[in-house]
Amino acid sequence: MKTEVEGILSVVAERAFSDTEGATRRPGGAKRRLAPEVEEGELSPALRDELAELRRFKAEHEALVQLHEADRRELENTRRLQQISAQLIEHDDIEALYERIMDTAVGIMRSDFASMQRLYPERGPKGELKLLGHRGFSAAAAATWEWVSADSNCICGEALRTGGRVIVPDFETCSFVAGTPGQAAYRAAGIRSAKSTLLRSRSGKVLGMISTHWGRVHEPSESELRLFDVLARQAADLIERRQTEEVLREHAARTERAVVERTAELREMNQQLESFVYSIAHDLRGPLRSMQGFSEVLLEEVGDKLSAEAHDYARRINRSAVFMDALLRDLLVFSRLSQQQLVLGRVELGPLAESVVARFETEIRERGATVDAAGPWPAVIAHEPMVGQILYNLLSNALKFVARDRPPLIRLVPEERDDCIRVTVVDNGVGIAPEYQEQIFRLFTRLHGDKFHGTGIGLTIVQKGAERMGGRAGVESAAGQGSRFWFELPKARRKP
Amino acid sequence: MNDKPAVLLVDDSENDLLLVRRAFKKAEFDIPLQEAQNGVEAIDYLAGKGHYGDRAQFPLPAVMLLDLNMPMKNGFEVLKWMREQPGLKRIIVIILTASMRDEDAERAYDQGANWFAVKPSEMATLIEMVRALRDWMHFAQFPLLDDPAKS
Repeated sequence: MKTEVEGILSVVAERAFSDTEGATRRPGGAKRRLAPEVEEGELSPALRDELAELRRFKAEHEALVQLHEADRRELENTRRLQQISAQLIEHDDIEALYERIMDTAVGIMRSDFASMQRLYPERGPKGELKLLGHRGFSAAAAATWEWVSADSNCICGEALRTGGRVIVPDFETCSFVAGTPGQAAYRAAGIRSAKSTLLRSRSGKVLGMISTHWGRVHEPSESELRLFDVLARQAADLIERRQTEEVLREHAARTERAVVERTAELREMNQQLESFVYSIAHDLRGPLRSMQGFSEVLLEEVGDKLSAEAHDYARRINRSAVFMDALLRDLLVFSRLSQQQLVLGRVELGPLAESVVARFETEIRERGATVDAAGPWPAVIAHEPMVGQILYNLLSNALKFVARDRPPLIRLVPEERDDCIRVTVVDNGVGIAPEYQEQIFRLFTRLHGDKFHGTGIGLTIVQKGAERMGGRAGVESAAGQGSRFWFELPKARRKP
Repeated sequence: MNDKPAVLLVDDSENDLLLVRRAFKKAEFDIPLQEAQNGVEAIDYLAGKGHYGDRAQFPLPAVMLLDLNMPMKNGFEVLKWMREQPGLKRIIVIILTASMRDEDAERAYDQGANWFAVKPSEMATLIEMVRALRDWMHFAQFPLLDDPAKS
């Protein structure tokens, strides 16, 4: 008898302790007979009590094992969710994102099928769902459910109608499917049960639907549903973000395209305008040359026969023509400045400064001016004719804006800075009050009216020219104290 | 070659023609200065077409002052045509234009111009320029030309 009991106990113990896997796979296991060869009625009352206790113990253990298993699954699912969250965020491609979400849905729900749909709210009163992707659907099933509306005899139609989660444990007994064409479709697809959840983002916007399906009668557990809701919410948020991002990206691309087009248009217009300015300036110089030439001829040929008054008028015509010619010439230089392709290379400033000073030889002599350009001169990276033009304009100004009775005293001072060369033209001229120092670089700005003949273009050329070569230009001055106009250009490497 | 090589001035602006003529006079450049008022006329002159065939009155020039921007045929077209004529391709061509475009100068030199000068606005400068031409021509040895009008 004792051995019998021991046999029973050992069987019970073995079942209880070793078959944890089996316990989850066979939930009905606990109800089976303990051992086929022993009838419970044959046992003594004490043993029966012991057996009952063991049964309780076993049931408790199995419950614990199930709980543990549920915990394990929940933990695993949570981990899966965390993983997918990370992946979802990283995924750049929205299609790949849908795939990942469906994989995770299948994993969490242990389903045989899954599908995802996007809601197009503008289609119909409750919108229409378009199939984005699926797991396990036949081609025919995918075609049947490609577009689903609130009128459709299917679980998604119902979810769209009710605006919530729908669980159908068995389509054969489902009120809104049984007896409709939907039933045949589910049968053909091999789907017996399903669950659909709306993809609703945090902002409350319904983006679509995610569903899982089983080939057998099935009802998902509470914990599965809970986890699935987390997934659905996360997925909805991410999809919304992605869709927003995509819209933004598309918008940005469109804006970018528009900007590029507009820039090209503007550049074209600008070029046309500049070439127009060039043509105008060029064509105006023709008649002007005649005015200038013939007024000169007039003064020279018959000047002595003219009255003092007529002589003065002729001189005025000539002076105006000369001035207008200077204006047009500067304008031409200026318009060319913006059109011209600048070829940057090594420019030795020494010989260049010398040649520019030489161009003023007559004026320097006539004005009794002193121009010191002794250097030592470094080299810069620039477009040589442009640097020449800048030096020319600055030197011309330095000579021009000095009181007539005063011999101009000009120094051209090169100075090496960190990564550039600064050339300063120091004069003893009339100077510029601080409030005008910015404005004088603007086109057609003249401070001195008729007293000095300026065209108002020279300094604009200086500044624009320097900027186009990667440098800059400016001035330090005070009224009546002379000016220090400077420009900076990138330094050239020393010759090896 | 002729003791006094002729100069042909091609310009559509009557004022400019007048001013250049005056500058020649002021520079005391005593030379037969011939004129043509556009590209077509210039080509007719050089080819000796019609009344230009009279080389006593319209001598073949050793030097041509050629404006660029002209109606009918512009300076570039005249230049191109000249450089294709075996008898005329060696004529010294001086482009005298209002254009300050680098591209124009480059194109002119590429097409065989010998000199490129921008029309000066001041009379004094123009006279100086003509004087330089006179001095240069004084020392220059000119190539023999094969007059198309005589062949």
